[in-house]
Amino acid sequence: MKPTDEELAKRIKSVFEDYNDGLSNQGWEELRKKYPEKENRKLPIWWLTGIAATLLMALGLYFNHTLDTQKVVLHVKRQNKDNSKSSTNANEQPVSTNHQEITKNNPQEQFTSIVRTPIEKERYAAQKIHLVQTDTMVKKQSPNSHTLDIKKVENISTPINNNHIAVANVQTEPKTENRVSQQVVIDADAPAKPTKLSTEDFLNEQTKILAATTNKTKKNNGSVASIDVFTGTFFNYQDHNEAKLSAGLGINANLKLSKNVVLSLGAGISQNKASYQSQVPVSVTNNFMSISSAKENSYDYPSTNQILAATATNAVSFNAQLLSIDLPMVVKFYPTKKQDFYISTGINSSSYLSQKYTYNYSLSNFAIQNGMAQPKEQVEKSKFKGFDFANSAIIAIGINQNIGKNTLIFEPYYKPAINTMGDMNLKINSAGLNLKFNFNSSAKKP
Amino acid sequence: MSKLHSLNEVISHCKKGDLYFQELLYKQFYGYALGICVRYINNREDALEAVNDSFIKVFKSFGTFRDNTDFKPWFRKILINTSLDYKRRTMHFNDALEMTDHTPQTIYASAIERLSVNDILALMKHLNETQRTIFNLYEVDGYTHKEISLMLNIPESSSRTYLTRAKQALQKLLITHSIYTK
Repeated sequence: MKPTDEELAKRIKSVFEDYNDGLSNQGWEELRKKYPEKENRKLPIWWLTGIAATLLMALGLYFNHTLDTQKVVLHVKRQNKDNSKSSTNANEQPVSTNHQEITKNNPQEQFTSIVRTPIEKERYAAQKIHLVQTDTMVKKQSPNSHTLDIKKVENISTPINNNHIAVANVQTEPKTENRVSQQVVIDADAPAKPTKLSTEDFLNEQTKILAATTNKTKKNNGSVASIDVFTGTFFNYQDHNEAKLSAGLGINANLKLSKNVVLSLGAGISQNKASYQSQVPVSVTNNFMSISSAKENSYDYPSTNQILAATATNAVSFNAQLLSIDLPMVVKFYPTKKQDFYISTGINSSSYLSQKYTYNYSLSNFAIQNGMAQPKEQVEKSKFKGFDFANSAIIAIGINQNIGKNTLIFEPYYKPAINTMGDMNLKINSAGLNLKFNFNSSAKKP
Repeated sequence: MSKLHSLNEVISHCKKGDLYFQELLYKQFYGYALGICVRYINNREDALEAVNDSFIKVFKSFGTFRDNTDFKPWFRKILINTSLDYKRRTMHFNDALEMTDHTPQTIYASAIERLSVNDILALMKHLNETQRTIFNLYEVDGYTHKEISLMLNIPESSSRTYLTRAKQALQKLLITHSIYTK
């Protein structure tokens, strides 16, 4: 170095050593816009599990509500119509009047009449009318077989409002009483004439019929096929590398093959993360080397030699994020008669909505000579690319828990890699917990 | 309380993520950091961005900083590497060196001593990006040609040639400068 160069270098050093433009406050304000970064807090697994459970419950309730909607709509519509009719009748014939008549003639009724609501009173009155009519029919059909007080029976011909009084006064011998009561029971079960049935009775019967139909349908469906909605949280891991928490959700269709065997086909979406801090797979290094060789002339990318040097220092990390569509296919076996748990095994295939790979490396030369390696980062992205058939096996145990008519299934599972995933040919093992909500299932059966 | 101890105290608080001490450290080393970055990056705004990125790296990687080591050299390397990374986005080094006439002339030492920050920055603006970077790395910051070749991904011989060209250009500029300032 010539004296002039030395002097110039010294001058530059000294001039810039304490350089200050007096704008440090402004600089700090600028820095604060970027730092500290808002923490991207990872939700703990129990939070994710809780969210998954809540989601499943919400979906379950939603589907249950949808199933019941028809019943509710029918019920409400008919109730509205009948209420308008019954309110008109009530104006014409106040229930309280009937009630007074009942209590006047039959003091024993007082106890029961106290707790009756207006609707119950109406129903009670209707039943009495029906009973008297039935009684009348019995008497007309076989007048000789009864030892009724004819005078009192003649009261039956009085207006409807007073019919129940006549019934209250009927006195029969034990045998006759039995016959009459049997007839009443039979009559009560027989379809009532619309004009004589109360609104409540009609709606109750309709609801029973509808419920019975729905139950039959459910049982039929549960015995052949059912649907699971599931969410899952799981860890992706590779030996000697950090495990990464990931999550997914999807739907399964279960087809019963035999008494204890069920075939389950599904589709789901999941985010898979993998992190390699200590041992980056050779396939990944080779892939990035080939990419950087192609871009070697570009200053943004390291040369092949640099990557090799960096790998030799072992200061390399690699992160992968795959958003995939998973297609699991498993066979479930129920070992017990109760069918309260199952063991399943199968395969999973994946297609990828997006893939992102981040390759961090340090130049080894700096590490040796300066004591501090220079960090570098290279990112590769792709979308809607690739399909890997049977990239992992599935081994799981499902524990069924009945919730109403549906079933919540806790399914811990293990998915060892049997093939590679994605552009970088990663072999990712995973283990986690699926929460499944099974619809249309009969008790403890898939 | 000695200055060294004070710095250690500041650093230990910075390691814990204390924003107050991080601000103290920032304001204490702001001039030093800007003085380095502005030599590598022409634009003052861009240099400030490099300074801030360097400080963020420091705050984030304080965990790897050993307590008994000197802070300034460690910070200096981060500043230089960050500045080079910043330049890489816009700059491409190539081996197509322009040949210029070189006529050695005497430069008065007094002219160098009179150079201010603005004078030096003005001189450096006349150099091309590669010459300027290599001159700074070699002459001012003390890197070897081997290190420079690895940092910039160019052959060592190119680094030497660029340095020679930078010096020639600066000498020319200094002569002109000394004539005008005499």
